[in-house]
Amino acid sequence: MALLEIKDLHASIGDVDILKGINLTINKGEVHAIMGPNGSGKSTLSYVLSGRDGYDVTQGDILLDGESILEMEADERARAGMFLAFQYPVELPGVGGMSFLRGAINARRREEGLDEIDNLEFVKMVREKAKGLGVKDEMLKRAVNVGFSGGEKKRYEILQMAMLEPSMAILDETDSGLDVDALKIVSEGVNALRGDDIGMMVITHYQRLLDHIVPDHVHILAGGKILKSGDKNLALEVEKTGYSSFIDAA
Amino acid sequence: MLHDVLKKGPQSGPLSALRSGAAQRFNDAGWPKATDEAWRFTNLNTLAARELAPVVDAAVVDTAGADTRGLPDGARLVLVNGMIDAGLSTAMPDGVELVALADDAELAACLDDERLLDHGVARLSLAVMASGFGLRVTGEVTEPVHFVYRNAGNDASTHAVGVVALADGASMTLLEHHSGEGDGLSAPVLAVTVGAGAALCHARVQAEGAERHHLATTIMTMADDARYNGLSVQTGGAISRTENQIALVGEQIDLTLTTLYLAHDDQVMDVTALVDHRMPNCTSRQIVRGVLDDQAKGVFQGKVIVARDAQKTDGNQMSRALLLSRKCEADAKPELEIYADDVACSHGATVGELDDNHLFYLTSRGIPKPEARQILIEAFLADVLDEVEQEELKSHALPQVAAWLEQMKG
Ligand SMILES: Nc1ncnc2c1ncn2[C@@H]1O[C@H](COP(=O)(O)OP(=O)(O)OP(=O)(O)O)[C@@H](O)[C@H]1O
Ligand SMILES: [Mg+2]
Repeated sequence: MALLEIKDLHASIGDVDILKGINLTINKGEVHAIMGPNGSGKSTLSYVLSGRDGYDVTQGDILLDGESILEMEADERARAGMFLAFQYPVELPGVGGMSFLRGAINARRREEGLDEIDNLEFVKMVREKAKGLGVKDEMLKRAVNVGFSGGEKKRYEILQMAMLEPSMAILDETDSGLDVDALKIVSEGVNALRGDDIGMMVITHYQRLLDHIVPDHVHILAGGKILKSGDKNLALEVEKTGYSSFIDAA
Repeated sequence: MLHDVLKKGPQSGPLSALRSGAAQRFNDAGWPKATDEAWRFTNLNTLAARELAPVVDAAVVDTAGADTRGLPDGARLVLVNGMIDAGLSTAMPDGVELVALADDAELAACLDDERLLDHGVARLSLAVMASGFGLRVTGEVTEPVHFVYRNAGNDASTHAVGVVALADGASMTLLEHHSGEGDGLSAPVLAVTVGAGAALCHARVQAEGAERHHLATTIMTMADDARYNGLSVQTGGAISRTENQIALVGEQIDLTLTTLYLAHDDQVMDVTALVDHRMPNCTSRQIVRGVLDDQAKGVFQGKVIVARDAQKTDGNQMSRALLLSRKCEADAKPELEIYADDVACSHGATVGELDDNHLFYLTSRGIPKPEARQILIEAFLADVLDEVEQEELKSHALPQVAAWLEQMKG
């Protein structure tokens, strides 16, 4: 069943058009990779999908589980199951990591009419998931992302994803900044979350990540449009020939 | 009007000359004007025009309006409309002697200070004070002392005047709390001396009602090796100023003062601080954080003076204001006057808004925007509160911060 439907999506910032008619459907259980040159609009797409302020959707629609989410704020979309692992995770000085995670989980639980999560249960859950992703206990105690290395920030994004159990996850260059071993650990973490109930959009520049997280579909985004779609072999082709052949062909 | 008031006061004793001198100067100058440099940002014109009646006679104080519930346990001095309420006050701990300034020339002399006499509002309080109180502190006092200021009344001004003198080597924790109802003015004056090697921990909460005005002046004089740790929180009053003038007149003094001001609606909230380094090898650290919402106006005037002799001074003063609405305003005047050449001083004042990136990160995790804003405001205040080590200061002042944040939600 269609989980996310992006229909002829046009979006701009100020008077700059960035997304120029994107069509894409992600079904439950599928992983779609998005590749494309720098500045092609990949992060913009991830922000527009997750409801960041400052973007004007000038045309088209975004449906999550069959319902338009255009009028929903970022927090409502998140509680409806959307999750964005940021390309550049944001440091929040003064915001304790544990209370941040707990706040996010409880926001969701409140929406579902559940009581706040039991504190012991919560701590146990964080510890367990953090361990699997190689996130050190000591990092959990710090302010959100403050003083984390680039790779640590990326692991922390996936930890949040594991805690929030989204139905639609967008991973924006989660591989950048990760060393070879970390890439493996994080990919395993992501793969563990794959399943029939979740759809994923994995934005990356490198085939390397897709060796670990094998996509069902690959799309090439350039100039705010999807120029070509294919299976995982398309990523191999990109790796060999670069984007120019696709852009020239379009 | 002032003349009548003065006639009722003591005509002899250590305070009488001081009071008439202060009255003379207030009568000559009148209320501070917008053209006075010190009052450029905080305009008292409407307050001055109201001709408030100073509350000067304990017998005529209507304490009925003053809320005297919820008094803190332990040693407390309760000042209702500026005068000691003996019934509500409790005994001071060992090492703390409470005196009437009218009977104590030594402590009364602490008020004979240009910082007060030259001050546009403090001199009025000196002139019309009904009674002044003094604390003489010796030795190590472990039990905190509360000063509870409760005010009530319309069209009246209250003028609590006190002196706290820590003898050499003494130490204490002083916890002030100011609250009040009605549209009157509270203009408390406190003169503090911290003797050689003495240590004062001080928390101050200004939680006046929304209609009241609060113009407080604290002067402090610190001697060799003296220590001061202060935490000051203000949330109340239509127009308010918390002013500290601190003179470091000895060596190896260590001063830390953390100030928070939180304002909304049409409040005008002013934090004014002068730290005067007169001697070498002293450290002063002042951190100011303001949060402004609605049409509120925040004023920070901070000045650090380092005299020619005050070599090896380490003086810092840093103010940050957070604007939560487009209609609020933050005025800042940081000043550094350095006459010595071997010093490490820094100062600055910044004004900012909540960061959209921060807000988006939180909301993208499902946290509703109002809650996300709340988290970020708390975070803005949290890092400075980490600087305050004394739990007693925090437990005294932080409930007021929490209460303010709570009302923001609603
Ligand atoms: N706030 C903004 N104002 C104006 N233009 C913007 C803004 N943010 C992004 N852009 C422009 O939009 C285009 C797409 O940017 P985006 O970040 O989506 O690219 P990307 O595909 O994620 O690139 P990368 O691979 O480098 O991460 C770029 O040309 C960028 O300069
Ligand atoms: Mg990007």
